[in-house]
Amino acid sequence: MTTLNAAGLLEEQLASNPLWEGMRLQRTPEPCAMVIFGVTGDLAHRKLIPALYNLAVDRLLPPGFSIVGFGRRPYTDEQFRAEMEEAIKQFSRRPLEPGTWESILQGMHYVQGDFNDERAFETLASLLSDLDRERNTGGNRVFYLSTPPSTYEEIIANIGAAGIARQNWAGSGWTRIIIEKPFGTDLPTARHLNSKVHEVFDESQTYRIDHYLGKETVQNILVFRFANTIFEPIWNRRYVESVQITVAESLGVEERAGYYEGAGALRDMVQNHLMQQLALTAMEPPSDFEADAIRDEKVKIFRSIKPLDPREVAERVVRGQYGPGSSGGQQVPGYRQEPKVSPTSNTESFVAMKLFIENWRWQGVPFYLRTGKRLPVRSSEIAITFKPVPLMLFRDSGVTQLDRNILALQIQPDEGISMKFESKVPSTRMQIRSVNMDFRYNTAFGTQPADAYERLILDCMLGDSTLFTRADEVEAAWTIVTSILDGWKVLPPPQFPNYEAGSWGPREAHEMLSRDGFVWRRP
Amino acid sequence: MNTQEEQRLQTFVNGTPLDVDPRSIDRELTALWAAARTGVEPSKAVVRFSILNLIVMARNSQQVEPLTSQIIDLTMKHPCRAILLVNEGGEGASTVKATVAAHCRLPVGGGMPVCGEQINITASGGDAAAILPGTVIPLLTSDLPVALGWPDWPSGALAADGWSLDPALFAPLLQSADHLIVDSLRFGKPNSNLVRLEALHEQDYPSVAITDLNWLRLLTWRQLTAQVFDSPSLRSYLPNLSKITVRYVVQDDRPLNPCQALLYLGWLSDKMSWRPGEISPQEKGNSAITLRTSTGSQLYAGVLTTTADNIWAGDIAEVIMEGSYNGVAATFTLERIAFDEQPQADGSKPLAEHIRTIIEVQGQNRIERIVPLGKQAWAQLVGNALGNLGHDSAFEQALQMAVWMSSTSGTKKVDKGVRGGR
Repeated sequence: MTTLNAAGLLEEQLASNPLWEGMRLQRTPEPCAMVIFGVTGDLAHRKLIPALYNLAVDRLLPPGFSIVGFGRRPYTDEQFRAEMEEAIKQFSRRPLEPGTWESILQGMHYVQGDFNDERAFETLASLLSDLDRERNTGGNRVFYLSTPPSTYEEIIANIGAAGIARQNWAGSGWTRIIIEKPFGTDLPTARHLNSKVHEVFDESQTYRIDHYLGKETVQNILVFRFANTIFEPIWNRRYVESVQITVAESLGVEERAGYYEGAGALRDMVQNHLMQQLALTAMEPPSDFEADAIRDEKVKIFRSIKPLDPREVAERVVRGQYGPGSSGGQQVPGYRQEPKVSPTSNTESFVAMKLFIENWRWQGVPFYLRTGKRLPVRSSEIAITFKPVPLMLFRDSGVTQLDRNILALQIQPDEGISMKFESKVPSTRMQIRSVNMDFRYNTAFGTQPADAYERLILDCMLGDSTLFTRADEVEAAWTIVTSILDGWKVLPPPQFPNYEAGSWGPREAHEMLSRDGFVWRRP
Repeated sequence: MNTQEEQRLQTFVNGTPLDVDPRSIDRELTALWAAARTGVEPSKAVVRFSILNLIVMARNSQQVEPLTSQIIDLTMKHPCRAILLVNEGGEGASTVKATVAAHCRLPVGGGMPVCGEQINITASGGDAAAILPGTVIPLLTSDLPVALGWPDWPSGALAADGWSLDPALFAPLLQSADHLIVDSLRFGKPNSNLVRLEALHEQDYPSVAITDLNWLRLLTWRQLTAQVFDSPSLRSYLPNLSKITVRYVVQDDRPLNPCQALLYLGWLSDKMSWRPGEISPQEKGNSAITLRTSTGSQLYAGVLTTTADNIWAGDIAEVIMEGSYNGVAATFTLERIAFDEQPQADGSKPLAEHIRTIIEVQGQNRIERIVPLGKQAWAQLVGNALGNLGHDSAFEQALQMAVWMSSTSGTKKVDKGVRGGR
């Protein structure tokens, strides 16, 4: 039932802000405070604080927005602010400009404490209450875990114990938590972490971030598929012969050996980035462009991929580790020679696999996934190879072979879409050659896309979880990856290193495709 | 390719206008682009790209240079086929001259330069206005939207009475366009021109989407106003506002132009379902407007002039909204301020325009926030318009309210140019 309030506007109308109606702009969130745990770390300096600054410059943060840094270092508010100013100067895509920065500073505070220090969390709770009162943040909070995964449980437990995870803390308002990948190290640990999160936050409050999903080109997969009519009718087993998803890095392990040694390419890249791209490429059209509708369809894809038994792992998964070689015209060490890496390490820096999605759309179509470090180039792409024409019409004209049509979605760099098709070479005789029809983002749109973190942080504040992974989605992806990890445990140990830095990975990866009559694309 | 052809190609690719035969503009362009694609040297090859046809009407030949500079800025983000028209008028037999030039930019992240193109067509003589449409329309690239930019609409050399344009020129061009881009900040007779603009949309060309660049200048003001009331506790003040003051800038050497202020107030009124009450025009470009809220209570709106350095005449300088909810008074202020930007290469420090939002609720801390106003140059505004081609119902509703607010006996006083300060 509707009632008129004192001023005559329907209360229902006031439930949302009527001034946004018809505004051709991104909506902005309600006033809120963001608490960054591990604010003195690399991610906060390089990504989070610059992202917040750029959102402020774009007028996408609300008045009263406040940032609370939580860390172990004994900083004062002033020291914290000075360090964050340096971070913006160094890492922001825009220069620091004084007016906006002064405004941000007014709502910037620091809480010092260990992540297991209950009193520090009480201090945090008290500060958040003050901000609600002084900056009108209305009980709205985002907690961002920018800390090592080993600290997640105790931080979440202490947020709960301090009573600041509750929705409607100040009579209204919302509370959300952003959790960085990796979310678990296998299926049991992911399930355990989910249960710990759910002891304090419900699923609607939980935002598991995979920054890959914040990339414009990844989001464009859905637009490309579902905003055009010409591709969807051929997006199935009748027309598609195979799909290749490549995420290649030219860098080595760099400074991440401490983490990477325990993770490897499978956990670091496949469980999240590659699985997400696979799901977006293969999913059915969602019933609505809404978070749960989209995530429901992604989960269905993961559940349609049967976990691999050890025999299948041996046949369909190749792991590799780079040895010494060259990259960018320089000699580079092998993985085992990198700083902080064990000289006998068996951590994989490369993995390639063949998966099948057992549903009506994709039955029998191989999906080849490949990722690795110290490959020749940095490149991510999804390539759809279509089936050959059913009849060779031009055989009598001397044309003995036609190439397959390939649709390639380049995620990075050189973001774009290209379509390879056959064309007659201008001449008096029938001669056919493959040509490419190219669309490049940087040609069509002369703008620098926003950083993925800007988009994702804003989405979280707006309560849009479309680009975040849901608990069942994470677990379904881990189910596949864990079956491979389990297979490796019982298979003979790998003979590492098995590919040269600067090459396209181990020979076995190429053999896996050649057995099927394919070759890896060279992105 | 001989040396002369090479020089001609380089002139074109470097953006210098190249004389072409007006009867074969498209053919000449096709040949130039074919040569440019392969390049005199492979390292100089370029990509021709276009997302739009943009026709821009210059008032006279003196405007060609500044408009070209703005078209170049626009092409950096929105490569297009820009056709710049000049009607020099005059007597006697009509003649048409044409030039072509490419505008190229290096894509973000590298790659071959991406180029749009500009065609300048200058007609003179007794039938110049009648000749231009027939020269321009065949040049429009099919399947791409057509935007007609008329920076001086409806004023300018051909608008003797302040708004009536030469129908031989305006009508056929607008009939070929999907989009008309005008700028009410440049209206010579703001009140009557606003009425004309509404009629253009409502009656004459309802299928053509109209963008007023002055409306786009308001985007940040509207965004920041909406943000003030995103907080549920402050949203309750929205239907309880009792007074709104919008101050716009006047300058001695510029015409009085309240269009931006009226459009802002028109937008707010439309969104809040406030209905017209009374208008009390006052001297010196000021108006006191009474609006009725949906409960029938009255809200007083003042559209007042002010003077300010570094703000263009007609731009809003300040908005103050006052109200009370549950006996607690509140004031919400948006004010335009300027900061020194980072020094440029030449050592100069341009002013960066910002808006300060101030939220003052009785008994609570004052909340202040400063954000950039956003770029307001022609190229940026037109670029924004191109990102949202199509009818903007919020603008159309705001225009309707603005027309009502401007339809006062005060028009004459305003147009007589009597100006005042705060």
